[in-house]
Amino acid sequence: MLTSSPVAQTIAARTSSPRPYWLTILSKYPFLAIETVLLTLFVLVALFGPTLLDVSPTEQILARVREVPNPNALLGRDELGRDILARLVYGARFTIGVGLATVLFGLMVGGFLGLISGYYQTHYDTVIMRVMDLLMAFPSILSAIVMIAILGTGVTNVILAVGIFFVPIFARLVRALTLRLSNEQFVDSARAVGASDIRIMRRHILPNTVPTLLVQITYSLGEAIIIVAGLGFLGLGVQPPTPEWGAMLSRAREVMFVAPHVAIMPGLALVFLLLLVNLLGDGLRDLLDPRLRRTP
Amino acid sequence: MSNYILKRISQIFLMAFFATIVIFALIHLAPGDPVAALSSPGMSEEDRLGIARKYGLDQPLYVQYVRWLGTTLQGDLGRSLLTNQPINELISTRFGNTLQLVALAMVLNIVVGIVTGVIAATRRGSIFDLSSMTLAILSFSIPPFFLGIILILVFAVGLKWLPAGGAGSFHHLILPAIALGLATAALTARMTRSAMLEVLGSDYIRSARAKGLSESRVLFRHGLKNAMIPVLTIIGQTTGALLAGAVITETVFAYPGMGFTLVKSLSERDYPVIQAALLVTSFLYLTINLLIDIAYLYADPRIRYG
Repeated sequence: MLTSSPVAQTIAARTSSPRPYWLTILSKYPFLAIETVLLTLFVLVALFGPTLLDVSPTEQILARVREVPNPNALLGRDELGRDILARLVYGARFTIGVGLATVLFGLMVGGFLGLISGYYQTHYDTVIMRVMDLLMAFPSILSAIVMIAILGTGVTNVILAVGIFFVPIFARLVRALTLRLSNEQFVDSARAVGASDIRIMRRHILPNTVPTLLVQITYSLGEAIIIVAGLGFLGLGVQPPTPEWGAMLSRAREVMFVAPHVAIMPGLALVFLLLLVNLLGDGLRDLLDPRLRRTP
Repeated sequence: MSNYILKRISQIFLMAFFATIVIFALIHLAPGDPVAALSSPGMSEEDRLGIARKYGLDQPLYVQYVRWLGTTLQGDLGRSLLTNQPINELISTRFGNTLQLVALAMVLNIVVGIVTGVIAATRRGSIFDLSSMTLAILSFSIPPFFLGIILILVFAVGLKWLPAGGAGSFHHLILPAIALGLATAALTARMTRSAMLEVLGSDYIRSARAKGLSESRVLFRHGLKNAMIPVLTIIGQTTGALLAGAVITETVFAYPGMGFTLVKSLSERDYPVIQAALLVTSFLYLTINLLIDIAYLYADPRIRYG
């Protein structure tokens, strides 16, 4: 039974052939490969697009306001005559970057708290987990809206306000994983040979949380992108004239009856990105979580 | 069982108490001096002090908190800084509007989610299974505000079947409820499908079939009932998401509910209204969570007798 599982097969392949491990995995899961490549492309566009593109995202050509897609402006122009493609390319780094940063914030803070909480299991554990319950008790975007209303808008504040929502999610997950792993034989063995707590956590527990965490990170990224764009949509995210996809959609509402493409283009960009992220999450879960694989 | 409910209720009260502190603190940490907002530029220092005294703003924060909590518990949410309208009046209809919207979205979530999930699981690998699961992943990859815009463009502008915004009739509710509930229905469908598949593969289902029970009895009495626990969990989580998501959906459709009120009062810095909107929303959220927990009791005997 063990040898029939895809991972066991890939491990066998890894030891018998000189092909690199990742190549074996990608050839076994072609969709995962396509999703990874496309998502990488998105990130590359976000990183280098603005330097390669010589169209300004803020230049207003008032004579061509709300122009439909044409060879001159591939995705058309918005309500102020700005090139939509250029704005999407410039905005990608905010949409993807801020989303990623919020998840990383949640992962670092929550992961640390969960690890300490699960490993030491003292009264810190109770206190930390009760605080996490309290954080979970309030709906994500609502608390983010309030925090931004108080802290003010801006990239750092958005990351903080949305990132806090992911802290309890990662704290609970890492705690549960740590609790389970602490009872494993290899941790007992490490302790028996005199490994320090820090070494056990770093070398024996953390690496084993990575597969499950990767799946959660991917799904959380999808959620983060929706919340960040939602804040932008409400006017509480990155401020204009900086192009951000959610804010672009919000502005487009004013002209959507006469020029629907102004709303549809940034919306489709978001859908495409989120679809990739969610499909990647599904793929990673199938690949990395053997418990879920048995019931596809 | 009653012990469990009592414990949950006391927890909810504690949470609600914390919520009042957090909401009060947040509003008072916010930039902007309410005395300055209430007084006109030419006023003397004495007049300012008078205003501060009149609204109790000269007292230390904890005294202000206790007073505010006292009046709030008596059901008086104060008056809007902008219009001087009593907030109770302002919020009561909007609260009802949000409740209607969230309730309809929840019905959509539960009915569409569970029915789709069960059919997909029983016909695993069929065209229905594949297409509904593809649609599901597409559904929660569409941000609710974009879905709202598309629904408006197609059904209000293009086909002219339904109104593009506002409230007042059941017709006004349909598009916002779909925009709000579709993504969560997709999540519920996926969860129902995988929970059903797991249950249907278990020994007791084989036994139930072996002793000759009808297929519908196997599916619903033995299958769905046992698959309901993870499904309830996801419904509980998504209900919170619905309430939070209503903020954005209401803005897209200019639907006069709590979320719309909150966003509007935030941009106007009308603090008493912000406070009231947040308070009512978080109490509603906590109440719904309690109801979900009680629903668990009926689904999971391990909690009932545990």
